[in-house]
Amino acid sequence: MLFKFIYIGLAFILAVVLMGAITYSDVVPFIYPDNWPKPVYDFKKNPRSQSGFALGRKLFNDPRLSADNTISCSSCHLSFTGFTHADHSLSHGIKGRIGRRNSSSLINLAWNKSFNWDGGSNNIEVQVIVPLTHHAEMDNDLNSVMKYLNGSSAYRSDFYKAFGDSLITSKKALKALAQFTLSLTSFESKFDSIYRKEPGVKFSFNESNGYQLFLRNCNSCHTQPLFTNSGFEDNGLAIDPDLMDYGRYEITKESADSFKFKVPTLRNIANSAPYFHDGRVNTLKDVMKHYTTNITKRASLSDSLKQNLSLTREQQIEIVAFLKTLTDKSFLYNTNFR
Amino acid sequence: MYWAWHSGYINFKIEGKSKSCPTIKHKFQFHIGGFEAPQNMLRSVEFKDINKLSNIEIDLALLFNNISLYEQNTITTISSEASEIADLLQKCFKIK
Repeated sequence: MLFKFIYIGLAFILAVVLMGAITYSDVVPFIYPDNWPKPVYDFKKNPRSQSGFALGRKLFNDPRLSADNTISCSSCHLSFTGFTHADHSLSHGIKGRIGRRNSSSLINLAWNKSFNWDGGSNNIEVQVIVPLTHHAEMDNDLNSVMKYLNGSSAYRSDFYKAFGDSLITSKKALKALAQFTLSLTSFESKFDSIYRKEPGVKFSFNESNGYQLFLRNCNSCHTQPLFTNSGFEDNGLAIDPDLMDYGRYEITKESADSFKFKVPTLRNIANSAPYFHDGRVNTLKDVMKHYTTNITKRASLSDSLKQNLSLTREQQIEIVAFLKTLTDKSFLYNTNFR
Repeated sequence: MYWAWHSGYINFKIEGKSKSCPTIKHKFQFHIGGFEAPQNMLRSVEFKDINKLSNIEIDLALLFNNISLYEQNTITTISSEASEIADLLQKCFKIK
């Protein structure tokens, strides 16, 4: 309940900002639950402000950042699916070009140590350059984007509000985008209420059993409360011969990293299908089927998956029931995020 | 030259054509970058007695005399081959 009060405080700060009492120095503190680890991101280097957040959101939704003005960040990262791409195993960039990995959800990114499925980006700000310049995504370059932004008086005014300077540089644009994406925090699910021991909230029988099974079978990688250990694991998915994706190996060139992908968060997982790094399955039932019957054994396989998980059909249903308690409607339907 | 897919910079880049290259249009390309162990392409070059009139020169002959473009013509990611090129490049810098 503590941060409910902080919200009221925040609303007050925002009201002051809106009244124009403060301009670009309207610092908004980063709020997260008391019983969570400290964020990885250093907010001192990019102080949060309402105007920075609003600018980041505007950039995130602007298709003119792509080479042919058709694709925005939000084309493949939609708020109501946890900022992943609903119904797309692989997303299409400009001109119908298809990428080779499933669009990641964007949730609680301030705790990420690296970005993208292979961890190739080491900072949330520079991560943006990947989709912005990738041939199969927005296929643009930073110079063209800066030329477009500097040519817009509306953007120059937005940048002035956010950074006290109307000259638009890539550094400022990337910082503004990060202010928005870092704000996509989710900690108001049913699980969270129980994790914080809020009165009157209880798991159902199935959810409770599922939670215990989850802790024994899944939590070593999908570690609560973030539901990821931020590491890279080979979860035994057979390689797709059309994609030939070796994951983390492509970054480190270490054979031990073959088939390893970043462990994704499971928050809002019921709304973020399809699943796995290439979106190869559509339901959580099929995810459970993989882990219980279909693990590909090889040297790089995760230590936690040396054999198929031994779970009855009822137990699998219970785990899925638990996973659905990670759905945070106040996050998914937050109109401030659109 | 920023490497987006693997955060960091291409520290050295040279592209061109040579009849020795059995590649499309006889092209060669070397993009040498990456800074994380064990595939770290960063090399330091220290100059003593450097002054305002000194010119730093890069002797590319030293690079091309030590590699076979027939065998080695395309490096665009970290690898032990990239590391060997980085070692050669370190020796190419001279003061005149």
